[in-house]
Amino acid sequence: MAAAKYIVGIDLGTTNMVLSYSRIISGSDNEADDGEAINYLLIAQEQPKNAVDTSEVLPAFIFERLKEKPVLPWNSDNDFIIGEFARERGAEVPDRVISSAKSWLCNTRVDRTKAILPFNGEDSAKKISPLQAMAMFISHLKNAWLQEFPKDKLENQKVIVTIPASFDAAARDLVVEAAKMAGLSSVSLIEEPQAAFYSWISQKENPWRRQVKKGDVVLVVDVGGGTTDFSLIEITESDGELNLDRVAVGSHILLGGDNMDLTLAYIAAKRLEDTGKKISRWQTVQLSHQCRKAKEILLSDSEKDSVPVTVSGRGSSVIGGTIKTQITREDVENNIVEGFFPHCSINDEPAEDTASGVRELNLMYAADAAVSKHLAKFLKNQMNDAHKEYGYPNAILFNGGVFKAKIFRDRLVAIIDSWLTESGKDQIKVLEGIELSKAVSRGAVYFGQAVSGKGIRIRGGVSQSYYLGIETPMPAVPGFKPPLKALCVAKQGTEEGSVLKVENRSFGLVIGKTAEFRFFKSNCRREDEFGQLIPDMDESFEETSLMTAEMPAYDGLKAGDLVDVELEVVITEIGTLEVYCISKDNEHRWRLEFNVREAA
Amino acid sequence: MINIVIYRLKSFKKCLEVITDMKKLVARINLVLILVFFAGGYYVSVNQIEPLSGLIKQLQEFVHLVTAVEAYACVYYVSLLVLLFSVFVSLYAAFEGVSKKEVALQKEIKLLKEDAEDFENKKVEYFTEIKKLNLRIQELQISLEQKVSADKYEKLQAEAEENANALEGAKAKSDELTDKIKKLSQKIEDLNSEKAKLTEQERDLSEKLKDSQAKLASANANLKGGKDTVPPAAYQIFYLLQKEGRLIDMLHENIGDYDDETLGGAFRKLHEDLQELIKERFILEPVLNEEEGNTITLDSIDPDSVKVSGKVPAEGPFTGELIHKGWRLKECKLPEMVDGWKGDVIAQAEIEI
Repeated sequence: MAAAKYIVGIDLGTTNMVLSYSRIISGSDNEADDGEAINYLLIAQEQPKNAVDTSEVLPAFIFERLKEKPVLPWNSDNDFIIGEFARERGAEVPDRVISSAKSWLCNTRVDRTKAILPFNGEDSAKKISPLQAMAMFISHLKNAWLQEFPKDKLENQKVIVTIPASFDAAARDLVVEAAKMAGLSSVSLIEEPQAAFYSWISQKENPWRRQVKKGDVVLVVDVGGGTTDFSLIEITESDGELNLDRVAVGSHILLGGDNMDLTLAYIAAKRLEDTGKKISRWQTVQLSHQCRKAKEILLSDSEKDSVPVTVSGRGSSVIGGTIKTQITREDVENNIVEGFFPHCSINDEPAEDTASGVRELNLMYAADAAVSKHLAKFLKNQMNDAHKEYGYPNAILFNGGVFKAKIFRDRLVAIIDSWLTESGKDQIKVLEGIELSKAVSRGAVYFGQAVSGKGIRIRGGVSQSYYLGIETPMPAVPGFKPPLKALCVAKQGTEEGSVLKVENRSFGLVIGKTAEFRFFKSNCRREDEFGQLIPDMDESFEETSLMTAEMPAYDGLKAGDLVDVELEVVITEIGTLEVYCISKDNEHRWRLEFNVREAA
Repeated sequence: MINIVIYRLKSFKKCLEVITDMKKLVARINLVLILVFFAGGYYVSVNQIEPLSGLIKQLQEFVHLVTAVEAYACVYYVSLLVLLFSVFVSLYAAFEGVSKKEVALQKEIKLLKEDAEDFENKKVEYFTEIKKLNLRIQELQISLEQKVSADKYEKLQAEAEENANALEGAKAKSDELTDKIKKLSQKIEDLNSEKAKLTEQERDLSEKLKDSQAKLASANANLKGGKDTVPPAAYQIFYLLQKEGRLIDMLHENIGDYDDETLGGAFRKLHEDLQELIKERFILEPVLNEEEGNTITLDSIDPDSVKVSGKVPAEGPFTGELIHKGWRLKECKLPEMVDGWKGDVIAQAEIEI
């Protein structure tokens, strides 16, 4: 393999993907701040009318080709269109478009390796699995890269892929798998809020060392197009140098800027329908584009009280067919600001039912659109823990296009301050200097530089604690399942590269059968130690994919025999979790694989 | 060895049997003899049979001491001793015979063994001999064959020479022919490739011709705004203006029936969309970056970029009011067309199913 010439950061966004890169300077030991300039790949994409155009952003849409002729220089017999044209055609033929593939990847309710996308598509359409969809995006980026750098294949570069911090071990595995399917055999993963933090560290206008001090806990709030992600990073000190520790991550929340646009589009549509006009699906899509523009105008220009939203006629009578209404400042303030960032108490929990908010079926979209309530729950969870101080962050770092609007930043700061003052803490400090869009892919590249020793590195480790469900032996009682105990197999924060063995505990597994463990995660049980058995499982545990291992017969043991095994846990360098059953004689190992097929 | 022992044991047993048989015989003979003697003695003494009774009397007189009975007994014992001796002698002779037989057998075995050894040795000798003979036979065979083939070879050579002569003649002829054929096929090939080249060239040329015709046409069209050909970029630009800003629809629509408010609302949207398109795809800048309405002075005028009107002097400097600052198209960022523009459609008909 040729030596890597570039560090490449791939931001696999829910709605948009970006690839950034910087040259690796060999031999120099510069401080990270002097690192190479970060560039964005111009990604070649199909356009209508047999044209090809490039853009820094690859919209995360896949469209099953109808009669459109493939025009990209690579895979000319491809059945799918990826990118800008796919989004455009998807608005017109919604049954054939795949969107939010990334969110499907962490949906434990579906088989993520089964061809189920597009989810609502007709059965005649060629379907693909969320895993395949992800692989297709990465493959597209790989080919686009090759167009730009024919001599330096992407598989030979140092590639870092960003994932939501809330991705569990199974979803992380799937991202690595997708990269492998696309031909990238070794990629590193980095959590998006961490990447955003790296991006902030790398900026020079407001040096980060002047903005935070030892002991500070930084809350990273990342509201993207489709997902909301929270992380806490603690600033510590060792040998007189500031260190960064990622101490907590939130759960996966499918909520973002797109929801805001959709909310306004529904308001506008309702307004139009009230005047007796019928709004088609195509018009709703157009409305949503218009509403985003209107939202941006109203949020940035405090002079304006309303912005007209217009959808031109679809037929050749463009003027006669125009429908028109407006979005007012009130709409934005009442539905967007109050809907997504309502004032709330730290004890408020997001609603679990479908009473409010805009939802689409099948993907587990957040039931409650209130980002502030999700945040309250996240911080509250930290307070229930041994490290109560994590519930009271000292500083906040915003990321995601949504926070370009000052009103959202100010509102969220006001809400957090109200919680802090209530507990007698100092007000939160807003960290300055981050570039809100593309920060993630920039940060990924900075992380790549940090890994090669050119900059400060966030110590992260395992993002949450993981548990295997162990059944308690008890006399059979009809109708009652034996109570489940949780065996901690990964403690939150365990560093990458650790190999741990569960001591003094062995399990009898039956040869010839599939060993099966229920698998749980928790992001608020920091005090549980590795190997500890927790007898009472409360709501702080969240069940995720099953872990299974095939146990084929081997020398001397036949089907039905019982073999005693011990558990070994490996936290890989790229941040994935691997659990092995090891026979007592140490001669046989079975890997417990995530069973992403069946619903948990 | 064991056999010998058994044999010996057997012979010994036989001896014992002989001995017991003899004992019985001796006892019987003994008994008969005793009876005979006593009967004989009695008969002799009673009947005074001569010479025996005289012998006995003589014996009696000779010894003086013995009675007649004692004398008989003595004769009896003497004759018994003689008998016993003879029995022993015969037994010994029997024994001697057995052991002599054994020794003779052993000697025979030894001799046989020696014979067998000799035989083995001889066998080995014979085998080596046979081998040698075989080799020899082979040699002989080979030499025989050689001899035979040598004989035949001579004959064959002679034949072959004849044939070769004939063949040479034929070969020379065929060589000539193949040469001719080769030359001919070479020529054909040359001609074919030439033809292929020519057709390729022709194709290239015709394509080039087409291209240049198209280019010429488009250049002509660009130059003159020609009426017969449309440059591909024109299709593309019209396509984009219609797709993004609905320009064709807008210009084609009869707007006389709409009130100004409807018009304004609709136009605002279209204006916005078109503006976005222009910003994204066409980089424009003013020819003269001055505010319109200002008075400006130019030393010279390039008629392609500045148009003057009013009272125009023959020579510069030209001073006047800037009416329009003009536009330059600095860059045209059109998507790259893979196979050029196909057909003449700039806005597809749309059907929703």
